[in-house]
Amino acid sequence: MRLIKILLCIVTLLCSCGKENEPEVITGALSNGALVLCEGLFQQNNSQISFISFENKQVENNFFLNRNDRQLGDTGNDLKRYGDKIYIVVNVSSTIEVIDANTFESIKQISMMNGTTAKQPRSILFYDGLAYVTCFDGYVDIIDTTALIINDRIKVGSNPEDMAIVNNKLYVTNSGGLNTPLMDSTVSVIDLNTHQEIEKIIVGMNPGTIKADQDGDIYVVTRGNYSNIPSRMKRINSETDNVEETFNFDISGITRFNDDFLVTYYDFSSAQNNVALFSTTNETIEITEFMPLNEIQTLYGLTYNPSKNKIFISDAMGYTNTGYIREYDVQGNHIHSYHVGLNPSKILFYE
Amino acid sequence: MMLCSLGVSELMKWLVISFLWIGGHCIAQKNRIQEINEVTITFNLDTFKSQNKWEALQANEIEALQANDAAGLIRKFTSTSIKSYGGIGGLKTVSSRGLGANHSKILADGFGINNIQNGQVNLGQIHSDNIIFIRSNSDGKSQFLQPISAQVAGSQFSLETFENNFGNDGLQFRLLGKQGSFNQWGSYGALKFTSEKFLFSTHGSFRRADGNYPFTLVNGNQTSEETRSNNDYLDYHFGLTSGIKTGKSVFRLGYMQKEFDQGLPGAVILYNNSADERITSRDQNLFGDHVFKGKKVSLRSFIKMNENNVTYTDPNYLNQNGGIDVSYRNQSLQVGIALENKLSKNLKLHLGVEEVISDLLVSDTTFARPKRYHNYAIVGMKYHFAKRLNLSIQLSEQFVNENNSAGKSAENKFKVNPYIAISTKEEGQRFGHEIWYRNSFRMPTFNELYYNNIGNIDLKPEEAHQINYGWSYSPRKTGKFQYYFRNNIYLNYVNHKIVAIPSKNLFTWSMQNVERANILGTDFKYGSKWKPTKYFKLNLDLNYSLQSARDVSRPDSPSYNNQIAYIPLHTGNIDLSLTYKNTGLRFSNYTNSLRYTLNENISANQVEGFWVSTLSTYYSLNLKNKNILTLRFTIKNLFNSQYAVIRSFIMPGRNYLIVLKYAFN
Repeated sequence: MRLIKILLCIVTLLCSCGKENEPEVITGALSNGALVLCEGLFQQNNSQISFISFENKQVENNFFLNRNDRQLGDTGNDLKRYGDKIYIVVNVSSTIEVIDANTFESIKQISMMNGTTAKQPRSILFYDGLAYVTCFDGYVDIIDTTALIINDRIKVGSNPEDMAIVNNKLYVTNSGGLNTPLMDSTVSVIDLNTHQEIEKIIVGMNPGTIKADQDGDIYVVTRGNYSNIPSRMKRINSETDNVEETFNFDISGITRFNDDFLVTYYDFSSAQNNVALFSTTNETIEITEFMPLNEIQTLYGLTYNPSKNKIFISDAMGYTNTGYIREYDVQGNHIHSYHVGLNPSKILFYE
Repeated sequence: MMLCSLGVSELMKWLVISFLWIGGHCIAQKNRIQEINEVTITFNLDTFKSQNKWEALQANEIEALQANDAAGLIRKFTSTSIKSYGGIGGLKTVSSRGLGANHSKILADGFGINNIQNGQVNLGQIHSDNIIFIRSNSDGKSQFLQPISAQVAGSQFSLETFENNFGNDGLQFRLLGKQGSFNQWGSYGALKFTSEKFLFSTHGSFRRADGNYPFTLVNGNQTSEETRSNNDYLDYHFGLTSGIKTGKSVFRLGYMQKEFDQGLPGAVILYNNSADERITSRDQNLFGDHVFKGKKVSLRSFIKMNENNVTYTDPNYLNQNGGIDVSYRNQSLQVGIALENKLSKNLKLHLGVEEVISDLLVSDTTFARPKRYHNYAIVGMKYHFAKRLNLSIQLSEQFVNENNSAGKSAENKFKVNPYIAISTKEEGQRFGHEIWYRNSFRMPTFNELYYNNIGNIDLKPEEAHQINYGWSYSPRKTGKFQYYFRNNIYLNYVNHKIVAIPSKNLFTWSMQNVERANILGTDFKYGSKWKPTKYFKLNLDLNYSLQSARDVSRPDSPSYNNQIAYIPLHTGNIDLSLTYKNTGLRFSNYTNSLRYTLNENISANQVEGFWVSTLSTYYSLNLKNKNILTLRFTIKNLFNSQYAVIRSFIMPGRNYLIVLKYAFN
């Protein structure tokens, strides 16, 4: 019987577990730092925000939870600021969290449900007091940023992803990603006065990231089918809405870098990362290997901070380990790495 | 019937060759058989004492546990971990000794349960009301002429049902009805007849539940009371077995059909309650075998045909078709022969061959159309020498040929796996020792190879090396108090572990052979029985398992040497039962330590450990002429523990079950 008692004690001890508390790195209003959206993983309810303090080079994970007493939800996809509000788009939980930009306290949680169907919002963009939200159910929702209610929905293509605005027109990439292997190939063009779709431009299979340059050109990444149809960048003339050029290089994402672009590529089969400099004036790759990426395991996002003149790379560390935000100067020298949550993607800076 | 399309000509050729060879061998042996034993189809060889060698649950224990399904029984075994997604009929799989669930083979009445599409058997869909014996076996020993595919699997759980277990008991009858929380209803009825020449049984059962159980949702520092939705379940099983007996042989032929209709509640997603996925399925089995048991030669030839039809719907999936509605038809044919031959007093030879042919047809035309020919052969011997020592050596061969008529096929696989064991003779001894090494693998499943973007036809089989030392102790004297103690220590190494990793983007995962795992484990089992008077009996069973399963894939990875996701470091069971005359009380506890959702062992990935207890009581009324009426009342999750085995799949709290059973003979 003594043995039984000992065994019971061992089991009891081993079953109890302690939770580590994240230390607070900032109190009160946010400044001199960055919010990092960590997407987490599907069905784990572990999307979260990390706050990086540039002042003391420390990170506070679970920042949303710490300031709001509740979790962000499942699979956050976008993080942007408009005025004094921050908007977090949470895809699987199907919510948009509206947060006070100074205190990081919740103002409103907008539920993105259509009856019992989750609309699965994906990304957000602002224009003239309105927020436009792509929803995987094939619509762009329009949210009044003052009243924080959904005003209207615009029907677009299948599983819309990203958006760009030029010439009072909203360009929406329709990925059709949930129809694999028969994905969508179009960009919807929406008149921002009438909120009507004007046309669908055929750009190539599985369009994702879309960015405008200062000349009014639209660049869109078509991701192909990940096997025999490669990823490519296409240029759309926003006057004619025609695809004018296809750039023959592999690409995952586009980031504005002053007037030019940094184009990123991560090869999943070889795990090779690359960042190249693309000149929007000459419309060509100027520097094929813009910076060494020795520290990076899985390039998952790139953000340029013009005021600090620094490049921040999200390293997803193979997607199933907690990631890093790695800070570089524009010469490509690694300055510091910040250990954040699972699958860091979007970054929002505070002066 | 359904399997006409499966390479019949190849099969016939193979069968003819096999039968000629083994048949000839038997005829040669037959002449020498003087004494013929009565043959019964039962694999149940255990007594309390032999538990120190094997782990098993007997009919009375199985009944006392009142498990919802086979998973509730298997979790009582050492070094197992059950992944449960919750609910009656919900997905439950078992992994043993830190190996993945695909390494475990489940056998019912001596026939393997196959699912080549996903390689895993949903234990939640295996009823437990008809199970009269279940046993865990990791050591790879040849088990009374079982299918070769089971003998070469990394671990094995073998169960026997009332309706397919034929002794010599004349007419027997069982009728059971149950009612439980969340509008759970179930019934089971079986009629069995065995004579000296003839055997026959028929059975039917059904279960249904609303499954809308309440749970407490913890969201950061806030909690709310919620109810699980879309968790309804309905199934029907029925079957028929008949056979004939001659002095040396039993021929058995049976048919079983199972129908399922269930809602999938899915993960509990914060702020999003939508759940509309459903699965309906039909599982048809035709099985037959011939068992010959001579003094020197034992032989079993077996055949099983299975057709499994599954329809999955998700009306809320945001594709252009406005949802998913896809059907899968899985067919398989297993046929084989196993033989044991006692060559001399000390030398026993066993050998066998088996062919499993499987295919998959999917209504979604973008899916592959794979067909697999999986051939197994085994040859081994057991030698008993120097009074106390047994030596077992075995070599198995597997050849897999695959053909995808809608695209590229995976390459052929050929492997030879050794097994060696040395043990001391247990009978009459207090201590028994055993050491064994075995090497096994599991094939990638059709989903892993072919599923649209996720599948990867270049996958290699996942290999497992296992080495084990075990010892047991039971006192020679048996009196009012009996006990035994058993301990295993094992070291396993898994190479080419098949895991899903994002390979295109975060939404597009694919299967890769990227991980390696080291597993160091030990388990302890203590069993005791105390019977101070004629009417009073007290049983106590305790077990504890430690499975240190480490990710050793990449030294530069943050998860290097961390505990592998969802394998608990500690598991344990406590079972205490009291019987007085016709009344009994049983307390049963099952414990898991914390687990991690991912291989990186950080607090954010923790799923808390849990204790779950069941209290069950019964009263049996012995009526005239072998008629017994038993009433049972069970409280499950007695202390209303709010827990999840898999993150976001919250399990039911305290619930009740009443069972009334009538048995004749």
